[in-house]
Amino acid sequence: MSRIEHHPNQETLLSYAAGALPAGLALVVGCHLQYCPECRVSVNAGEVLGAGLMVALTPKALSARARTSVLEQLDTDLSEGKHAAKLSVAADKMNPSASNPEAIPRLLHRFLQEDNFDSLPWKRTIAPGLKQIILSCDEGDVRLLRIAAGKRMPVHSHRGSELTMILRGGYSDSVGKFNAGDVADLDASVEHQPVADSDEDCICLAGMDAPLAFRGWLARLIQPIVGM
Amino acid sequence: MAELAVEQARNGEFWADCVERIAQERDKHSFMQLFDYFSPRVNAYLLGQGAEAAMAEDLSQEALLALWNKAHLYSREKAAVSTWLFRVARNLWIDRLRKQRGVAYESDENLAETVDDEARLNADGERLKAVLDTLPQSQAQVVYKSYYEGKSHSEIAGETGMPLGSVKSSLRLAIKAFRQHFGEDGV
Repeated sequence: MSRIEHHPNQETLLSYAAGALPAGLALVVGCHLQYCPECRVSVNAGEVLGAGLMVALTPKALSARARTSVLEQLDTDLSEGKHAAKLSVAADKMNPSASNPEAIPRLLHRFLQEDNFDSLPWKRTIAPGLKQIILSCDEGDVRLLRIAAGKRMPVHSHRGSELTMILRGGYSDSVGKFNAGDVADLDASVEHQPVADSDEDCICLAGMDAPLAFRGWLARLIQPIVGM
Repeated sequence: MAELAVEQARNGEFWADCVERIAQERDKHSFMQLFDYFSPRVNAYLLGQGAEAAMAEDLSQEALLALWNKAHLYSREKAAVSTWLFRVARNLWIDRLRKQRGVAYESDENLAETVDDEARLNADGERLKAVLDTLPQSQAQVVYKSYYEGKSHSEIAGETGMPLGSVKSSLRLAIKAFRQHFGEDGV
C-alpha cells in the first residue's frame, strides 16, 4: 500500500470502536485499519473510552449458578479445535503474502475466500467501464467495484453514509487523489465524479449504510434465541 | 487529582497482575477476583446493548473465560484489562447479531499487534463519566447511544430526529472534548 492520505472520519472510527457501525461500513474500516497505524490509535482510544464507560455502568451480578459454572470450566482444557484455529490465524498473520499475493486485506480475504481480484466473478453494470461484485452482508450493502483504467464515472451522490477503500490502482475526484489504502468517507452532501487512473483498473471496496430498519435489528436479536 | 491518578493506575496494574498470574500459574484466585469485578459490568454492558438476560449472562461468562483461556496472549503494555474485555464482549455480541462471524473485527490474536502506546491512556470510568456529564446534552446523547446502545449514526438520527450531519458533528465535538480533557495522548 502506498502512503495513506485519506482516512475514515473520527466519528466513524469512534462508532467502529463502539461496535455501532453497520457491518458493511465496519468491514471497510476493519480493512483500512490493517494498513493504517494512525487510525488504529484512534480506534484504540475509542475502545479505551468504551472500556471506561463499561466499567462505570451500574454492575449487574451474574447468578450464583453462572459463577459456579465458570469455576468448573476452569479445569477443562482448551479444545483441540480452538488451538488449531488459533495457529492458522497466527500463520496467516506471519506470512500474509504466502497465500495472499495481492495483499487482499485479511478481513476481506476471509470473506472472499479468493486470492486474486482478477479471478472473481465480476459483473457488468449499467455504467460503462464499471463492474462490480455484490457481497452478501447482514447489514448494509458491500460491494467490490472495478472501474476500468481511465474511465470517468457519472456524477453521483450517496443516499446515506458510504465508505470506500481503494484496494488497487487509484482515482481522482473533487475531494482529491485516492490511492490503495485510502478511504473516502462520504455522506449525502458530497457529489462526486471519480476518474480512474489511466494506467490500471481501480478496484475499491465500498460499504454503504444499511437502510436501518429497527425491526430488522430486533429480528437479528432474537435469531440466536430461536436457534436460526 | 494526582493522588487519584496513582490510585487508578494501581487498580489497572492490579488487574494486569491478576491476568499475568493466570498466564503463569493458572491462579484461580486471581481469576475469581477479575470475575467478581468485571463480569457484572460486562453483563450490564450487554444488557444495555439489548441482549436478553440469559444471553447476556452466557456471553459474560464466555468473555471472562476468554480471559482465562487466552491470558498468555495478554500484554499489559498493549492494553488495560478493561479494554481487552470490552473488545472481547463487543465482538462476542456483534458475532451473535451477525451471521457472518468476525466480518469486521480482527481476531484477538491479531488485535495484539494493534497499538503500543495504550498504556498511556487512562480508561478510568469515573473520570470518563465526569467528562460525559459536562458535555452538552446532544453530544452526551450521541456518545451514550453509540456505546451503550450500539446505535449507528443513521439510527441515532432516526430516533432523535437530529439530521445525520448533526449526529456526526456532535460525535466529533464529543471526541474533541474527551481529547482535550485527557491531553494529547489521552482519549
